[in-house]
Amino acid sequence: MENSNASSAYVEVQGLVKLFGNDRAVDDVSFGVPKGKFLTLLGPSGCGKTTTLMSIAGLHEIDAGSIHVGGVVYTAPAEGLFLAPEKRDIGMVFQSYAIWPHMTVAQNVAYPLEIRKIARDEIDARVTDVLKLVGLGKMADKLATQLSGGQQQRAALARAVVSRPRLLLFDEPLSNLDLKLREQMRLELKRIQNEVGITSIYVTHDQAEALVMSDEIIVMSKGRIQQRGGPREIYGHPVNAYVSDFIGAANLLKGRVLSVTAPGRGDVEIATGLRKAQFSCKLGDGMAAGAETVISVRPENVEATRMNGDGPSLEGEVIQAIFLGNCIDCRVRWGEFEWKVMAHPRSGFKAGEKVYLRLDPEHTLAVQP
Amino acid sequence: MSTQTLAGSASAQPATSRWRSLVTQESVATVVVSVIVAAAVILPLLVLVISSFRVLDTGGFDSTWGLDNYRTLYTDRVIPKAFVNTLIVSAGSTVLATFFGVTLAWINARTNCPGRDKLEPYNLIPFFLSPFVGAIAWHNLAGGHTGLLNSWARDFLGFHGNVLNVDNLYGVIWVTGLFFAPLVYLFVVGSLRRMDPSLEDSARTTGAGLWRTAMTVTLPLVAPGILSGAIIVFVTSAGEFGVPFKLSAPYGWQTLTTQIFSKAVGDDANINLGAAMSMALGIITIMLIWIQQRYIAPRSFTTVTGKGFRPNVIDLGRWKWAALAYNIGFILISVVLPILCLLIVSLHPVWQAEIIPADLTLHNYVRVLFWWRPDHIAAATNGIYNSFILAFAGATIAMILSLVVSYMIHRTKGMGARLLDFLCVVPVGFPGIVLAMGVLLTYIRTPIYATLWIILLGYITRFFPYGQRNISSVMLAISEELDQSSRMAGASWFTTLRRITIPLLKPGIFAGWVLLFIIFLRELSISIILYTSGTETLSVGVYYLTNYENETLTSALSMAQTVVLLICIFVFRRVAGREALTA
Amino acid sequence: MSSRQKARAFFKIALIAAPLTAAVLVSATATVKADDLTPQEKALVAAAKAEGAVTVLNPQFSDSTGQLLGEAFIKRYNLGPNFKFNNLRKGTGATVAQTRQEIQAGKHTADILIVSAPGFFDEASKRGAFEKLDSGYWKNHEEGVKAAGQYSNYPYVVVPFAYTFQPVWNSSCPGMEHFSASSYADVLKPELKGKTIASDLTKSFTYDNTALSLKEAGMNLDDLWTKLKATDPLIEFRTEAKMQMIVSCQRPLDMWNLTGRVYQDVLKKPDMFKILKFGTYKEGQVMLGNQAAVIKGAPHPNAAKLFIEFLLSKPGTDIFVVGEMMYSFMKDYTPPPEAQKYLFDMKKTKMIGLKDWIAAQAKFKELRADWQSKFQ
Repeated sequence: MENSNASSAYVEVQGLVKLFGNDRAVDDVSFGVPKGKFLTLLGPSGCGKTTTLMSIAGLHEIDAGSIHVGGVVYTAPAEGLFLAPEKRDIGMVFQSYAIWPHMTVAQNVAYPLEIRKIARDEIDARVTDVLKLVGLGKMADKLATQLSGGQQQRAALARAVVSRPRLLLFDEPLSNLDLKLREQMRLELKRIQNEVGITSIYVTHDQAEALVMSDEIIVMSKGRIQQRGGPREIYGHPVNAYVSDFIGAANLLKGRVLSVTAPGRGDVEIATGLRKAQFSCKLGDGMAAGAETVISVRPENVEATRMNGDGPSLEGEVIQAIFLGNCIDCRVRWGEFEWKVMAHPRSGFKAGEKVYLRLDPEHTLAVQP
Repeated sequence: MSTQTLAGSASAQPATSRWRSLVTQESVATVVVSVIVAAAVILPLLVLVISSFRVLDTGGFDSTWGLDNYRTLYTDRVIPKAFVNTLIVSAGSTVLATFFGVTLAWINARTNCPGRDKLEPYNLIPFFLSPFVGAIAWHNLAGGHTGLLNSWARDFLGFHGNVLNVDNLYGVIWVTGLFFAPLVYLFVVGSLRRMDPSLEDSARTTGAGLWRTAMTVTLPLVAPGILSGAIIVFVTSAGEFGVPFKLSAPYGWQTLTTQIFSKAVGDDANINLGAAMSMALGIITIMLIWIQQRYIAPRSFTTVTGKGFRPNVIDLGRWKWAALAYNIGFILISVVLPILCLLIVSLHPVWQAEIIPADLTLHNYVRVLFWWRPDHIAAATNGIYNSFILAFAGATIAMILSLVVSYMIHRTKGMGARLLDFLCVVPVGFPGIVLAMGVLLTYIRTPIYATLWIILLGYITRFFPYGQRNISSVMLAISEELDQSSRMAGASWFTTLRRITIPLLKPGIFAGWVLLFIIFLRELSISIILYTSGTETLSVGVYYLTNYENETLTSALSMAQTVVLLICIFVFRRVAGREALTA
Repeated sequence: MSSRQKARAFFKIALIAAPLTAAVLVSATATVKADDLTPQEKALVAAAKAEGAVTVLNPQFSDSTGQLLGEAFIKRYNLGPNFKFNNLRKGTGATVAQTRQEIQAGKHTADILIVSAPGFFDEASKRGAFEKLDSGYWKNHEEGVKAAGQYSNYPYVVVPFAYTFQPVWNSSCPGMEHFSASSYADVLKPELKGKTIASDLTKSFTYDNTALSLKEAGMNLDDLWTKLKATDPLIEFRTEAKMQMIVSCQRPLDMWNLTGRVYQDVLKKPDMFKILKFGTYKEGQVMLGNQAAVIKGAPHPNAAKLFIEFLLSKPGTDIFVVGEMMYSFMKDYTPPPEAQKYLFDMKKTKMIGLKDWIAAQAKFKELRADWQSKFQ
């Protein structure tokens, strides 16, 4: 997993530091975004993702580091350089949509073009085009307040892209929508972004959203980057317990690396209460023999059987089994730990049964704690 | 489309990187405004503080540094009593105003009292009228022997002597409490309306009855609103000059404000002693206002959810007619009765405590309104003209100032914003008469002295926080993201202000303007210190008439002022809709 | 005609009569030729006209009197239609306070100060705050002013007029039908319980000076206050408010009020003349002379000096005597007939003042404290 080659990145963030009082909201963050790509900053609230976005937008000033976009310095406090937000040629979609209530949809969308003093008929033409693009063709003359949440979101997007900015920024734009609409809008947004091809940085706390929409994901926590990679990589090869836990569901147990048997493979030992187990699995980066580690295995990669078979297994008791239709969501107690297991729907597990758990060595990871 | 994107983005290529600019449009405007506000607010007060430490000698011209003024505060025969009287009046008015305010608010927001929507605007009227005029009216209604009500009681009900007497501290409490009740009303009714009904519903589902729910859920939630209103009334009463001047001071009960007035322009003028008294009064009122702003007001937002809903309405059954009667009674007593009295008195050439049909004449109105007639009274006719000019100009300038100040407080961060926030509280905490003295001492050597400009300055300094609060409340409801998205769309700070912020603030701006217009039209304490011949205001005209002419002429001008204010209230309410005139 | 119409008619007549009378007087003086002016007046006219305005700060002149004075002043000296005469009327304390502030600030908006405040005028003239006057008419007043025990300080401070507190009562009120007063004993009778007014000494120097003057003339103030207190008086200090009480029978007797106020009420309702009565004190009428001076540094010094001359001249005096019922110390002066109804004959009445008005100020505090302890 490599960072994009620094010199080819369209958006270049280096050593970004932002302090609020004594709090390091963004602590030495660096990344680049290639042109036309969709990068998501993912993390819980307070992790620094929104602050990073705001710094790129110019709505926050930064304390150290630099931001370059398309070769232009946007901010570099060490050299006393700061470009005002209105000069950064950025389209931004806000969490609250920020559609101006005293204007119609068309007026909202036309605003950035009016500021740039473009001729009236060109403005009208472009506005019409972009409204069609986002599916609001018929709503041009409606007052912003007459739109539903989803429609306002589309209008915000239209306004952001109409001036063909060099960069698009999204600040958790879908978090105010209900679930069904959110799922629908994710795909819509992705489609539109693909069509206009503008480099985009997207901030969200919803990992499913990140997985669906992004070309690349950066997982953040406490102002720092935890991992960067494509969706499959982040999902399948989390570098540490935090990322594991954040993306998808995961069983996480503390343990120790016993030995390295091959590059990226090794034997580990886990313990909880009075139970212990040893088995082989994949090793993450930096996992050497004797290292403290956390074992991460997704519920769908834990097999539960009533009979004990070959190979290492963990004997536990089912304390909860909920039939979800396409699987049975089981909780199995092993020592002091509760395993989350996705069992086959027809397995018929019930609470109180004794089961044997087997971990798929190809999909069990020992990662940084 | 994608190829177009790359080519089309040439429109926004910044030529070179810009230096981080200290001199942005935003920072220049904010610095200028901060300086203006600081100068306007702090300077007069600073001058007052300094004067209070200079002691006047017997000749009356020279002064030396010393603490004697402060010593006199407790050794003088009258001043400590005046202090006590002020406390009594403030406390009494607060209790009365809170009683009326809370009961009326509850009736209006929470019961099925018939016609309560229609009654609301009338409940607010007393606040917009002049308490000084109210005192004059009540003096003629119930001031000892000459009171109309007493006279009727004697004639029609066979009473002997006087049934009522408002020419004392009780009268001051009565009039002040009545006229400031709408302040409490507004705080409480807003609180009650914004309350999430599910808070009460959840209490009811646990089995609590109406009364218990009201006491244990509603009341605590509304308590910050009540407390805020009460503090504001207390402070405003302490700073009220016209009412004690008319009703209690002449008969021996001085208050701090009448004493300060006396020290400023009385026979025993001693502006330094007046400054010391102002400090004493000012410090107390400032503290109270600060407490209210900092600790109480923020808590009253906890019930705001932003979703519109109808709160629980209690069915009073047959008692709803009693509630209606109570509300109508309040309006009759606080608005109709005094106005009626003014009308009656104003139609007589000389007031002899009874209606003499043979004497009725409109001549008093001619003398106070018809400036072209030789027998006009200059102070009165000047007053109308000057007050309108001051009200228009003052409200406009003050709102512009409020706009920038509000913007700075809510949209910028850092020391400047917090300093401004504090500065906005200060003028409200000092009584008008105190501020006016400071303004006088500060600007006497400047060209604005003895012109309308110095009065304008006094007005704006004292009252712009009212306008600022109106804008702030709207601004708080407007998400910052609306401004930010304009910046991201390429608009400069100034363009954003012009095209986005100000249009969205229009309701707050208009409401603030109207409020200020009305306040300026009826202002007394500041005008009375700063006026000269030619720059009299309406209230000064009334004051002049009550000092040098008789009650009937005074009533005529008072009536004229009241009518003008009423017209303003109704016209503006019409134009601006329901939300206007909510302080 | 109905009584209402009659009243209206009389009212209108009175309202027209006053200015008419004055107009007659004024036109009589308007035909004054240049030779009728004194050399001092002549010397000032051109400069006054050039200055174009004058502002008189005083508590006495009502709107109508101010207007009449202004018109007559302009006419007499031919100051032209653009000349502005400003009558700035404020209370006794306020006029002194404003002047003091302006002197201290070096910023002047008022040209002339006319008020009864010997202490202030003394102090201010010591500081050179006043212009030196060269008056042609003052010599006519000097003797009378001295004889009446008034403070003046020519060439800086003159006394154009004085007022005095007299007993005023409403004879139409119950119990007052046969009342009359010519001595302090008359106004302090126990039968007057509940009918009297006590003027608040702490609020106005004029009351203090009146009391001190009486004391100097031999009256026992303790006795006075005790007897007054026994009648359960209502305390008030503003003359107009006290007049209202008299008119409305709230308190039908005020021992210290002004006949000028009676006149104002009669103008409004002529019937009042039948019921509002006044007397003079045989113990002595304390004359409260109003000092007048021109402020040094004022914007219109020559017009101001000229106006002082006007006030001291007969035509000028006639106007404010009729307008406000005040007393002039001019030698051999007879008030116009309209005023004689309200003014006592100065030759036949005992008029008193103070030997030393300045020193008297030092006694105010004690006097007030004493009064307060009895009444408040």
